[in-house]
Amino acid sequence: MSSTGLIELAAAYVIMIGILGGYVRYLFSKLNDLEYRMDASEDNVISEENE
Amino acid sequence: MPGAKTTSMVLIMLGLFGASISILLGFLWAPTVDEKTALGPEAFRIIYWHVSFAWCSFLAFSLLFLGSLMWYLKNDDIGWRFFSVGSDMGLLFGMGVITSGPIWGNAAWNTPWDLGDLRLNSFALLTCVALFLVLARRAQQDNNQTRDTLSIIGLFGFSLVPITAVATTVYQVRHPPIVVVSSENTGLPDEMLFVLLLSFLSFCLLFIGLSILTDRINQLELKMEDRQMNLDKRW
Repeated sequence: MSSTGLIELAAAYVIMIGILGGYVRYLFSKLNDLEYRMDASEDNVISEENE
Repeated sequence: MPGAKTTSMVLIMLGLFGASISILLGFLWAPTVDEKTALGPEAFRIIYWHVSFAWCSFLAFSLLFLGSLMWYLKNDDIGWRFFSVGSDMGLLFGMGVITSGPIWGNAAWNTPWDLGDLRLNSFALLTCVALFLVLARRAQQDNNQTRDTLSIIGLFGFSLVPITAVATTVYQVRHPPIVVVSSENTGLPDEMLFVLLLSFLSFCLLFIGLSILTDRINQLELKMEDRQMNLDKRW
């Protein structure tokens, strides 16, 4: 522990930024994955209908 | 009209930008507390994100309560969407509070946690309820029975919000009372109050953006599940 609390301040902000950044990254990668899978399943349905 | 993805992206970027500015202003412009009267005075600057995280978690739990009520009374699908987003956001913002709080407590009180403090323990319980709801929603099959059970737990969870909110007023042990209200013992200088409100406004944008994005993902997952079921039936 530092007497001024500077280390705690840095640690708290690193953790809070990590929580927010990690969640934003997780959401966008999940959204991209889902959109890719939706497109693929739509293509599959269209090609089946054409056959 | 921009889609949900674009809107949420813009709101998230604006929110992150504003929140970053509030950290900078908190470091460079706003004063800190008196070194002679407070332990670890620099750690006080944690307030700008810690309090915004806490206020947004209350917004999330309000959304969770509204969703639980709408689902429980009317089996309304919009209610379930509110519930899903509210529990995810409650966990996210609650985690921000219960991780930064003990670090700040360690500097300011010489102890990370006080088991005798109502505010700390009721907030931890609230975050645990959100964690349970998120895990249960993912682990259980999505049907009306599951939704009914989880919405009752959501309603119970919300009862902790007013307890947590007034905890520092009726039973203050260690956690300071509401800082933005000016009184003999509380209140903030104008610069600090400005940075705190800027931070909260930015977090509100972030909250809305993340909520829209989470809802979009939940909807796509439901759609994907439907397609999967239709494909399974065909085979």
